[in-house]
Amino acid sequence: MAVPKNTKRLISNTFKNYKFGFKTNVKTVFSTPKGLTKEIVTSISTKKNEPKWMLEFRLKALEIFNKKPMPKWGGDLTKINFENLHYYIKSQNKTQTSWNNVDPQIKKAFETLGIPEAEKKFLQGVSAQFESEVIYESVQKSLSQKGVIFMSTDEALKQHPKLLKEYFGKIVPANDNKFAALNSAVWSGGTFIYIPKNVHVDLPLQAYFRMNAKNMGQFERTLIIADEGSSVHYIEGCTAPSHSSNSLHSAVVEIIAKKGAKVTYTTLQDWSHNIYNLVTKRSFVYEKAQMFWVDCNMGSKLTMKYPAIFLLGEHARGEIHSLAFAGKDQHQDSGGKIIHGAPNTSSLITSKSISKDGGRATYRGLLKANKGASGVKSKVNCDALILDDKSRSDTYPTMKIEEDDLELEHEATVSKISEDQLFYLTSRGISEEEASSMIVNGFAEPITKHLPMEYAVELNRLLEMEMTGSVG
Amino acid sequence: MTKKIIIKPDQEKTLLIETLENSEIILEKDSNLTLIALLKKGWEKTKKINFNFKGENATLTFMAIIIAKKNNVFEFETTSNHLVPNTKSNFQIRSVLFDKAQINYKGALIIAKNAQHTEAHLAHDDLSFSKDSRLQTIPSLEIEADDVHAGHSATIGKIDKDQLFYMASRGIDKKTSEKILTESFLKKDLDKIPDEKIKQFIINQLEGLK
Repeated sequence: MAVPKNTKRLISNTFKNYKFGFKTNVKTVFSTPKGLTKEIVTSISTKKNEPKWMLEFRLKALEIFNKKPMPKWGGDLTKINFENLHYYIKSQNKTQTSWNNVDPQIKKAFETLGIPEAEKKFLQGVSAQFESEVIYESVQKSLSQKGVIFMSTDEALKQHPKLLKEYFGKIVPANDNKFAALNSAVWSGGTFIYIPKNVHVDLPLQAYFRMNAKNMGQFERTLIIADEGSSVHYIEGCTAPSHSSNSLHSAVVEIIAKKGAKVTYTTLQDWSHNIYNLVTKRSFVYEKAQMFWVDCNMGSKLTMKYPAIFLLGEHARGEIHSLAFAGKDQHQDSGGKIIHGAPNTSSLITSKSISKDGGRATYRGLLKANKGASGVKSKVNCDALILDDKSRSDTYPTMKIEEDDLELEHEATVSKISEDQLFYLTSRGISEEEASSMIVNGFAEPITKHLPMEYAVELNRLLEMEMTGSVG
Repeated sequence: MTKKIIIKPDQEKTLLIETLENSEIILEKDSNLTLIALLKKGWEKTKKINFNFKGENATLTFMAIIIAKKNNVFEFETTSNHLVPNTKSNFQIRSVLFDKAQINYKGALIIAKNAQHTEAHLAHDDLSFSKDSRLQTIPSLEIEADDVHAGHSATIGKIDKDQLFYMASRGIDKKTSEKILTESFLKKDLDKIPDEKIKQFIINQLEGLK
């Protein structure tokens, strides 16, 4: 028995309408010409009044970028034209701490995205990046009084040069990969967070990234340091207008979770379908610390992103929860990497992917236990749902083991919506529409349950609404 | 040099091999192949085995039992190409690692667009007895059809401590219980072998292990 036609139609409506494709008309304050040269990199650094070491860091990274070949694995990167991009665009002179001072057009864009409203309701700090610069940032006074630092990385370079010099580029060095090198050369914006010892940030801190211009590259750089015994939840969201030509988003995220700290990093990636999203994210996790990546990839043309966790202290724990939707002309090449570098560390990877309308969802992962990492426990689960015969699903998990005293489990399955489940639900009087929407929601649930309530509700509603074919 | 083996329509075959060679195995319509590799001696270069499903209703069972000791290196790749509808493959790798032995395995399940109703599964289960051994396993799936059952799994680790404790509480010393548990781990899938002679041969081989 094949899946009923009606169900197929409903499914094909899922994720069809991209809600955030609006464009904002705003004057540019400063923009580098198209292309990538030593002069352009230098002009970005000069414009930002950066210390000499940062300019040197950038120029060295540019050399590395030019030397490194394009990766040949993963998605199709051949259509990226590095000469046809603007690497730095500034739309506002100064980062504002009140929405009233933000350019009205930009403010309107973020209002449409619901950021100021969310800030009032359930966030303790917000940073908003438009093109290359952070245009708004604010953190609750109670937090700054405790010594929490939450600001753009550019601002942090001015105000906390010592911390930056100590940690910047140490987790993800410029020569890590071609796109980390590119980011290191032209980075701008992003978030810097420092949580002092034993401080717990109860509500999430959020950063929102918006790309508006055509043919641009956004290269934010985020650095999070959670000192001993502290905890923080950081959420990032990203959207862009649907232009006909392609743009590039290439971020680097570095996280340090010191002894006993807990860091949760949640991404809701919903770029328009003309964006190449090539991101390097990595965390160093020390003794008894915990790191959680919750990674939801719904947008972009091609995403290549594998959040990594290095478990470097005893009893450290790492979890990666990854959800990917690949629709028409989309390729989500995502996954996660966990390296067990210390004894008695544990980890969990859960990956769920859905592909439809010719989309391609790829899970690519690495699980490594270094020699000496005894008593390691790890579990990897990847499930894929293929909704039609035009779509494709791949799974490439790698396991490298140099230790005998460990427990490792891996499992992967690929399936379609089960007819038995559909039959069971419809026999209970549930309409086929509702049933298939329930099944897709249920499939995604192990990931969405890790989102803060407000986001989980939003994501589920998005799924449901579009499953019933109505426009939201 | 690649060896070519064709399993003809309606043919049912059980084969036992004790080393791997680069080979292409073609499964034609309604054929059924059970291929068992009992591997104790390593080799130098990667060995590649391709299984090409060319006829509907073909079934493959591939079983590898690897006893990796000393400096032996076992490096091999299997690729299961499901090119037509209604075929089945089942890969089961069981390995035990001692001393400085190494296993590098890549197992790919590829299901082409029109190969609907494919069932493809791959599992690699390993017991490790040495801190100096190395294991790398990369099971992969590439699927372009939607009405399929496919999956893979892997378990890697030491002998279960609870099982050892249970045996010890019955007065069995550690060495003997390890031997018994390892044997039973390797023997787990032998029931699937249709050929009694081959099955008995493998059992004898495993019982002769130290």
